[in-house]
Amino acid sequence: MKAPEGVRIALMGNEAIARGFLEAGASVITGYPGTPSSEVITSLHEYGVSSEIFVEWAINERVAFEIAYGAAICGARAAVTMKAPGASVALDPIVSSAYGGVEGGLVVLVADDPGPHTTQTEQDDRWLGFLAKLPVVTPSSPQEAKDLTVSAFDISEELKLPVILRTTTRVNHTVGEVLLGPVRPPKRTAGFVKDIPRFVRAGMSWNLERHRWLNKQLDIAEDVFDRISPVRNTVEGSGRFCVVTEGAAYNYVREVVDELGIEVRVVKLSLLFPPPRKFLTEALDGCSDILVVEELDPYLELVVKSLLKDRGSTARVYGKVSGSIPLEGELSRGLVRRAMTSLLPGTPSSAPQEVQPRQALKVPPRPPPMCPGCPHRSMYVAMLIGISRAGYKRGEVPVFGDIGCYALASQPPLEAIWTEHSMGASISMAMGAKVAGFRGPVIAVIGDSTFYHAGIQPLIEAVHKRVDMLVVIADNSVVAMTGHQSTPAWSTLESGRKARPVIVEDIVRAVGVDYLEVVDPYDIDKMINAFERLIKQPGVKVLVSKHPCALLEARSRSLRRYRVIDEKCTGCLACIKVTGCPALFYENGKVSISADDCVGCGLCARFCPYKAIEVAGNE
Amino acid sequence: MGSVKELNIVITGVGGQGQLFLSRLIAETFLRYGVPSMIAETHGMSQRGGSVIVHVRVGKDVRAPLIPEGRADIMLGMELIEAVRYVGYVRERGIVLANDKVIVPPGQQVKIGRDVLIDYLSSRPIRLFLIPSSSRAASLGIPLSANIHMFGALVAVLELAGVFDAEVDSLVETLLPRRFLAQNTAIYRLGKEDLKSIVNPASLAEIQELFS
Repeated sequence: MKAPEGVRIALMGNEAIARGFLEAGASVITGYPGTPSSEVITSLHEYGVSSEIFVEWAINERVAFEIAYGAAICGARAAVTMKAPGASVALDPIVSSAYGGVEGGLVVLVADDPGPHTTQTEQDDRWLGFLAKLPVVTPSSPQEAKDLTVSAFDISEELKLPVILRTTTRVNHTVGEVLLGPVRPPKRTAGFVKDIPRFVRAGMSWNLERHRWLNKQLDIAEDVFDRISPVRNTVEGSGRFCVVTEGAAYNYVREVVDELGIEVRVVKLSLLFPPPRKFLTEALDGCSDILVVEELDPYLELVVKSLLKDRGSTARVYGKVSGSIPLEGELSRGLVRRAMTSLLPGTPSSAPQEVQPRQALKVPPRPPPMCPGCPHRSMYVAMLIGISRAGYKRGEVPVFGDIGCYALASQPPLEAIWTEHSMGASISMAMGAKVAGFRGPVIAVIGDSTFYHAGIQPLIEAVHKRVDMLVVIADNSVVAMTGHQSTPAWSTLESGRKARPVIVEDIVRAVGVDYLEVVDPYDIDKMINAFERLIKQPGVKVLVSKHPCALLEARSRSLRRYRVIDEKCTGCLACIKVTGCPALFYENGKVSISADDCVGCGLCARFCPYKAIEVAGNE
Repeated sequence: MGSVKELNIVITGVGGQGQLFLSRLIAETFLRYGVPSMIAETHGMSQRGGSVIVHVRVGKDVRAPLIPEGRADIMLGMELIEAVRYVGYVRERGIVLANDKVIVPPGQQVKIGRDVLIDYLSSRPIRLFLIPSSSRAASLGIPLSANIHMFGALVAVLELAGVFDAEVDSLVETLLPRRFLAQNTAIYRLGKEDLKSIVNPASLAEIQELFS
């Protein structure tokens, strides 16, 4: 990624965007981890950047955006990365930023996830254009991702507006060849010019004036885009049948058109907001039938329909509203082919090689499990036992979960959490149940990084309103699920920066909870005991379940291994049923432990009724 | 080397078996031969212990990163259950290189036997080559390098098909992990030998037909 200009290398879309940040001379780069956006910043950390460039994870997307915005109004080039729900977290400052605008270029990467593969909803952030009134651009390949990132900074500086670089998983996580461009020196602040009407949103007449300014900027956005961006809105082919598309969907359209060998007009948009009306008017001229191929919502379809309506066109428009393209899920070449051939008489709907017998052999599903030795597993096992020792049935104590690895406990055999909603919602939703009159105990489970991100204010709320609940902070000292990024508890960051650790327990104490206890979940009996006591105790109780992520710990400490004594194992499967640990497997009537996977947490040994699992030695 | 218009390879297995690295090795090797390629990776939830499928598309005509079902020329199956799950991606007369290894999903007490999986794969209109990637990697003391054995087997297929020439070995050796380089080179070569040792004239003809 540090190769010089003119070199072609294979880059993942996210690495290409990271390279684009460097080529554009961004000097402040921040964000919050979230699939499929995380590798932009992790790859910059991996390859290392000059000390002139600030590249750090922020506590959440809102703070990240505000840091980048602060840098950009001081003239620096800044970038911020997030997944789709992160854009919602940052929405308040994003919307206001359209009124103040920027001096240095500011690019906001928002990665949507059609499918969805790893996101709670199929949120479509192209609407951010209409909502926040900010330009939105989108690439269709790693090369375009790199090039469009660079021009997004130039467009941002020209329009004095933040630009949203909106991607989808199949661009972020696609590896392809990228021709590199020159790296510009990082553009840092040249000073902050005081301009109260521009940057103070407390004056209503100022706000009205800035809104007028904003609309004027949007009026010229299409021209500025055309002048600056080498990644253009394009028309390929000709004919009265036209396909309008953008981003990853364009690639399917291109392949299907090539495969069918038909003459159609393919209109690809790279500027999504403001809709490039001049371009579209010309591109769609003379079309009788228009198929809009896009992922997530019928965004372009509505744009095209409104444009045609204004022009009095009678062209027919097909897409998600007409049912030609599904409203949910990810597109594929097959879906695009079917949509296109159903509108083009005489074209075959599937290629001959695609006809395959349906899969006949049923294989068991393989949802992602918690890793062997995961401290969250031990915590949950202790929780479930603690609930019953306290005299409740499992189904009587709602467990409000949160976002992170520990949500994997929704899978069998634990099935421990009842909700997983949005960052930080565990504590506030548990509070909602209590204030609505739920009589029994409630538990909220939140990870350390999710607590920093959005859990502190809900905890203040629960303490302040004197709500009875047990809050478990599953503290593994890392943002584990997205690839082990730093948390505010770290003293040395990925970049090498020395930081002041901000510790979970210190925050909890300062909030004024009724009770705080820190327990290592590997000490399973102590943990069971803590749950049994705290479930019944009144007030806001916080139980910090503290143990490093097993994957990281396995790299740094020598491991204890466990083995099954064959003569003692009766094949009762208690170990598997209680823990669901992936290192345990059942073969020929006995349980075995995979030596490659076991990290020696000892949870299975604790629950073997026949004492058939013992320490095999240290490594 | 022979010209490649479009070659579709799916890599399947269980998160943690090194499918991403394997896909990058394939793409880098073709890139050194001047042939562009694309990879659609799977990240996030399926990283560890989950079901993984990675799409590798090679050739000048390739635009979209995803291989349509029934259009993969080759499957590299790092685990047999996952090979069965995704075998619908493989086209008729396509090649399946399957690591002889079953990883039972955690918490599953339903036992699905190795023989059932292999019988099923053999019954499909594909050419199955069963190779001992995991056991070779374990016996060489590098259990995480089963993917490099698999890579060796793929390179052997592409050599037999005339896609790669003898130069490929010196090129590949610059791409293998620096750590344990000697062992990784050994297991790469072993993967090639293991594949070539099970190719008979009939299957050789089928391999060559696939690329004709």
